[in-house]
Amino acid sequence: MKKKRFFELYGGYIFVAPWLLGFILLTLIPFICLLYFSFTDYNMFTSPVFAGLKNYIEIVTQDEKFIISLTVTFIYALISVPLKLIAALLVAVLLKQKRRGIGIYRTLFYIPSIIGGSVAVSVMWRNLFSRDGAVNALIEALTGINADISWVADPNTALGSLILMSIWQFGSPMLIFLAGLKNISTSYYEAAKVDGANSIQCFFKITLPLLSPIIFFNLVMQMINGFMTFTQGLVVTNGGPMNRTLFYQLYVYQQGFEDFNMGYASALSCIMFVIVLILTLFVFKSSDAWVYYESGGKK
Amino acid sequence: MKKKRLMACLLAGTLAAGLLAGCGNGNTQNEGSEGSSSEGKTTIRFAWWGGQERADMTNEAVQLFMEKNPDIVVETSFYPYDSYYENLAIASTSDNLPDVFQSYIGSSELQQFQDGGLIEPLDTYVEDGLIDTSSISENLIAEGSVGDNLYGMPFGINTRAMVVNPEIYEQAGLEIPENGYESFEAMEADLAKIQEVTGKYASMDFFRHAGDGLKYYCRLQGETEFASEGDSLIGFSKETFVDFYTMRLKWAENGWIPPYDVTMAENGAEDSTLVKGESAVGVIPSNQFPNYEKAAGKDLQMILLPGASVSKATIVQAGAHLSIASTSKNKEAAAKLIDFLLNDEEANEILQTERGIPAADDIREAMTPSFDATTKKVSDIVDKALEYSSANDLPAMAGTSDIQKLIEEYEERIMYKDVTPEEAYDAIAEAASVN
Repeated sequence: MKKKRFFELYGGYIFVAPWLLGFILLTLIPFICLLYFSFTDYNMFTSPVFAGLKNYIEIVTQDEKFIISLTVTFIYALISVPLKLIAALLVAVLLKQKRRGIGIYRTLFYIPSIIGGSVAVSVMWRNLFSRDGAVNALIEALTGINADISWVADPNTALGSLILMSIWQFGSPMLIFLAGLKNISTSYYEAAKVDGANSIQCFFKITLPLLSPIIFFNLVMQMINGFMTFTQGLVVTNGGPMNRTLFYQLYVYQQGFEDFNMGYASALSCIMFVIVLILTLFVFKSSDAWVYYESGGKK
Repeated sequence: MKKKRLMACLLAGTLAAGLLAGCGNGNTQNEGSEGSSSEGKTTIRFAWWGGQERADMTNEAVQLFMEKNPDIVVETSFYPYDSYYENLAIASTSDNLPDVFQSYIGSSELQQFQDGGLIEPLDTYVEDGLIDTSSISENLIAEGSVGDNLYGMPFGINTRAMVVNPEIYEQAGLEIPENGYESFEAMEADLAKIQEVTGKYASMDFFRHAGDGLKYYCRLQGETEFASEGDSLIGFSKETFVDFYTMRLKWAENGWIPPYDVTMAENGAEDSTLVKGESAVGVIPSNQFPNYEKAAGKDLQMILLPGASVSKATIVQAGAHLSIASTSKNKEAAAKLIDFLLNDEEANEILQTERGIPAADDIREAMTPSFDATTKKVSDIVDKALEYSSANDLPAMAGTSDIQKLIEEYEERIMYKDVTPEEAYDAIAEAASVN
């Protein structure tokens, strides 16, 4: 009897224990260390020396690359996140239909995002878009023009090809959209049809408002992901050409693991944390205006 | 019911345990760090950068060392160059540096280790006779020293030389100059003819900063790339810098060298325009020559660099050094391993000349008859370069590694025509001025 009460009271903690342990050991403690290191001079070889705000002041007042990498990351996130969400939503709407073999399509469209963050895909992307890659071959076959350009190495197109790569990986927001779409009761559409609404009106007046909590969720997740972009920048372009794809996280990595300025890199990370935090809070705040919760209306 | 709940808790527990085990599993290979193992044997660790072929040869040589020194066990590990220093840095944070490691004294990557006092001066081991330096030239010992202390033994020596594809030269009706071209300008007429034959480019882009192109060009003008003293970190004049990059831009414009991004994307000998038959000359470190000949599948030749025969600009230097970590607990065994790798004839026969020609004169002499045709070409060009070479530049001042990076950044911008060479020089000179 006593045993039963014990499990009822504390069973839940045991279930969350693995996650909690992981969170404390792999996220919370490293984060506290990071915060501490950001106020120090630390090169991994000698013990950290407390330096106060020195790193932060240097970043804000003297570091050209801080501005460059911040700009690159903002451009990347501002373009790729909305486009990716739109692509995901459109494909989700298409895949909602009941057709033969629709499951296969769903799987196929999801595959790019399972393998998307991996190094292998980045290497593939680099080869596709290189000077003698498949993309140029395709252009030549279709138009007869020999585009003698390396899309990932030309300063004007490098960031664009990385944005394209990110849009192509719309699988996980698509899957979430799909689940959301299936949750919308068909009775709304039937009622609208009776009133004579066409499918475009249905989409904007029924689908979008009822899907807004899902859009909100996807927006927040993708926005955070966008600001954390790293692999593509490292593998496909290594920040080049001329720092045009120097993502913020890549710059942090360069400072930390190539120049061994761990304290400086920590400070950079903390700044990005604050930026993402503010943006997320902003999106949360704005959600009052555009997110509609069917159950219970406004929060 | 009760049973089900118990099962669930057990499952959760297993998961948690698995997670913890996953965390602790990181580096089982590094367990030998304690130094001595139980059977009275001394364990040391040895790390280097390089590929699989190098690893196979080095491991075989290490095996021989262990046979000859039954009381020492050597654990080896190797990394690609790109991540090598990163791995060393991470190992050093847990006082876990390999006892013996490949290094390059004076390189910017190694500077941090040097500053942290992590590299053991080798002078006492030389005095004690543990490391025999009697047949290694003074120039090379000086190169491995910082101040009055010796920190690295030369592990294979090489020089930069021009690699040539004789087949294309023949087709173009050209003759390969036996002592190299007299100058870069003297090459240009030949380049135009080569380009007609290849239908693509004429030369590999050997002007790259990473390939010491600028450094050599400065030495040709009697200047140095970096200053060893004075009020500027750089040692070259505006004229030299502008001439160098103007020439490079001209070559790129004529299509004699491939576009910048093609060169940057090149990945090893197999991938080079020279091996693909798209160009017929290039500059490579002499120890890379076998790779190029193997990848090309035909005879290639090596000649001196442009201008080398009429100057003393060439350098013969160590391809890498061997150093001991100051945190090592078995420095004598580490010194023994270094001495073995440098001065043992059998070991050098195993290592062949993959890292460069053996630095020890007597080993080099003893091995010469056994060299195959390819290796003979490498050793010949090193011998020839020694005739025309002079000592390496004096060590650069602190802070130079930042300027090195800056030059590379401006090099990229020059080649993409984002800045002119003149503008680039002014910006670099300003950043390089001391105070």
